[in-house]
Amino acid sequence: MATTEQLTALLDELRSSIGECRGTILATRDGLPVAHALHGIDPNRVAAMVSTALGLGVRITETMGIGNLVESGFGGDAGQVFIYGAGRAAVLAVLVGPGASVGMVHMQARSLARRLAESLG
Amino acid sequence: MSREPIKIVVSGPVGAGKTTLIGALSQVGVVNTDAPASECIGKATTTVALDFGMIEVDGWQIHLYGTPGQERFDFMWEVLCHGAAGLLMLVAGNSPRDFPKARNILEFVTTQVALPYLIGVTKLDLGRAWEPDEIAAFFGVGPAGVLGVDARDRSQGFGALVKLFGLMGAVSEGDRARPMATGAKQKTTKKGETEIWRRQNN
Repeated sequence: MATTEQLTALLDELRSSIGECRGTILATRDGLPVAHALHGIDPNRVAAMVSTALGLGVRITETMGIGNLVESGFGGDAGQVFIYGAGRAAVLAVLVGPGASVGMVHMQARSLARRLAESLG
Repeated sequence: MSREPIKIVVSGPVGAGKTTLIGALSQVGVVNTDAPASECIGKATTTVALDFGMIEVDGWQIHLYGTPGQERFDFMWEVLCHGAAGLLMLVAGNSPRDFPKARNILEFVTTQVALPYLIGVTKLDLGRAWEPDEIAAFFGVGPAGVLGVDARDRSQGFGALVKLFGLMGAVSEGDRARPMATGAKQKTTKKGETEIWRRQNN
């Protein structure tokens, strides 16, 4: 099991590799923050919300017959949030500003989610 | 004549039996959003978004929405209580330290929307720390506002709903209609239940 510092370093990598990335958080699936690179946003609150969104997303894709959830997303007029499962026990959320390449965000975030899942063991 | 579905919210602290109760009551497959618990809460999984179940009785379609129990999910209490007609607040009778948490949820919800509510005291078979009238006093309700309920038992859960509807006065005189042919897809409400329902509400 990686330390919080190691997990935060992984989150920071994503933040620095995507110019529009404004924050990331890793939370447990039951809504507790594990590590984050959020600034000025309460990680406790966000952790609970992203676990809710992921949990609901899993049921929505299942109920509507579109298979397993790959990601869940919310768009605002000033950016987007994408939420991914990171192994069975964790959730990764990535906050990006306008102009981000969604394909690039997904590719890097999914890769990060896999590494985080491995680090969590 | 089809009636508007009635939305009932089932809330309460972690481990009060919300998911269990909705599972016992629902006539359709329950939508639940369990995630592995990472805290020590006395069980392996916990609800993170909602539970949803339905029950149809005497032409009334009742939609049951279960909330997560932890305070960090308070935004879901707010989301799920929108448009609700009543609140069933469950609290484990063998766990008095959770009573303030239940009162907190109750205050959170009722300060935003004036909802009729019933306190359902679960897990009484595991030991009763407080008497029903003490629990009623704690929650500031009369003795009629508290009911012991085994969340695993469908008929007890149904009894709690009937009692809540009595408090809601949701089935008003003017709104009484002949029971419609329901064409329920799955298991239907038992005849005895319908009779209990009518006795209480009509």
